[in-house]
Amino acid sequence: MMKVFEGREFADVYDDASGGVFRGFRFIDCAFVSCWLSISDDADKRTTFRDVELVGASHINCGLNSAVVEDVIVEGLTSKRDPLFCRGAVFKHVVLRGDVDRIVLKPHPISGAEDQAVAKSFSEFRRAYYSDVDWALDISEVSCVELNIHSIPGDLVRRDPRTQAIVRRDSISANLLSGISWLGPEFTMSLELFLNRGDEDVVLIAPKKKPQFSRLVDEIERLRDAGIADRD
Amino acid sequence: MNERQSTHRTSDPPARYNADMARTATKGEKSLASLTFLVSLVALVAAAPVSGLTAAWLQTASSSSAWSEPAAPAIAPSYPETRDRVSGKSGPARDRLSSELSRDLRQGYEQSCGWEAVGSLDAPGGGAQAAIRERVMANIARSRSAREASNFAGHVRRVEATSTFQALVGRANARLARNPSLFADVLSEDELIASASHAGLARANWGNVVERLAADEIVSSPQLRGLFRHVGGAGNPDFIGLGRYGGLNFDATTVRQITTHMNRPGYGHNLIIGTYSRPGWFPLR
Repeated sequence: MMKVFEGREFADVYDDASGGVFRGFRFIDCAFVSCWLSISDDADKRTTFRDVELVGASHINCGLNSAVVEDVIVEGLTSKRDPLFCRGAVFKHVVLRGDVDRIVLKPHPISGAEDQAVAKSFSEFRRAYYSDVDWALDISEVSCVELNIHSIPGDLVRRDPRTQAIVRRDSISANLLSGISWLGPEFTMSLELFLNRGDEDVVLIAPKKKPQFSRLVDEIERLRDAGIADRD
Repeated sequence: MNERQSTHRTSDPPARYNADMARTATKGEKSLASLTFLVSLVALVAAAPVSGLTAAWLQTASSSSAWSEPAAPAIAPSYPETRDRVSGKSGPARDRLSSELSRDLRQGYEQSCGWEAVGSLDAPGGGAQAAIRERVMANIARSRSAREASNFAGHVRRVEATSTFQALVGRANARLARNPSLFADVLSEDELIASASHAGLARANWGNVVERLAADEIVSSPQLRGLFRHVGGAGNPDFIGLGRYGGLNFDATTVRQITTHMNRPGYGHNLIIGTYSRPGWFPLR
């Protein structure tokens, strides 16, 4: 039984990673203003959100930190200011579909860039969590302006093969990347960041709502031809 | 003659009774006059506008925050002087400030008053108490001192907000200058691409990172969450005040950009600015 909220606005909702489980919510055409969930720099201190649906939502400067997000559907999400930042959250059976403006999934909270111990604890938690997940994200039907997926294993991401591809660490290096003259700034930036992060792989996405969409689709195909991106 | 009269007074019981009664009546009149005078004095002290200032502060203290401005009196002035002034009597225009100042001084507004008189206003009472309260509240509305106290509270609030916000922006900027890798961690890929493509955009994004780091500190602090909300975007301040900072707007920017921000339509005129400076090595070429 889901609790349904329709046309509501939620402002200044802060959840300090209480360790609780929030489940069974459906938000239809709701607006979220300055709401942050699972605010914690402790990888083991997390709030779980399960069985949640967001339909036609909009947000202003909202985000997640260390949340565990499971069985969630996001169908349409408007970012009125900054992108939706998820810093250190882990995902299982999360579907993004419809028109989604900008979502950025980062591997750890901001403090992880300053404190190696924080970054390491989030990395270890993530590795353990995803070892028991059959699929994490489904982005095959999403139409977005920007979607950055950092540090989620590519094989756990359900994709649209035409517009989204996996690049693995053993098929790219900094030297090789610098020699690809035809690659545009978008995928160059994605691959440089990927190499710096030390992840095993990365999902390259040609955002359907981006003016450069056609070029980016072509570049994915060329990366496949060059043996850099996986051929699905 | 005197002896006879005296003998007569003491020896005639009805006359002595009448004389005693007359003395008692005179004494009673004096007591009544004294009582009336005392009651008038108490009423005058209780209703005196000088107590308005302390009443205003009491009202401030009893409100949600010590920094909040005293609330406007709920009861509008209704005494004849105000009605006359509102009705606009003919006569030469007077300087409003000097007029109010002279009136305040004339009515003793600037004199100090004991807290006891104000405290008695809050004691439970009947109609007389309510009437006194009404007079005092009305006088507060007219009291220049009370208005100045209100302005002072607002000024203190603004100074404190400026200091808090500047410290917040300073910490965010120092955090970024100390660890430039935050730049890549805080921005999205599109924002990084824009920064790499144009030095001006890189400089603008330095400001965006400072803003997001400040927002991150706010989100992480239950105290700051109650004071600031991250808003941002075109036509909006970076942050708006909440709680005791309610009604204040905040922007983080460089010293060179202060004028631009202050001239922004909509919110610029009442803006509190927190400044930051980029390190000389930024942006990298």
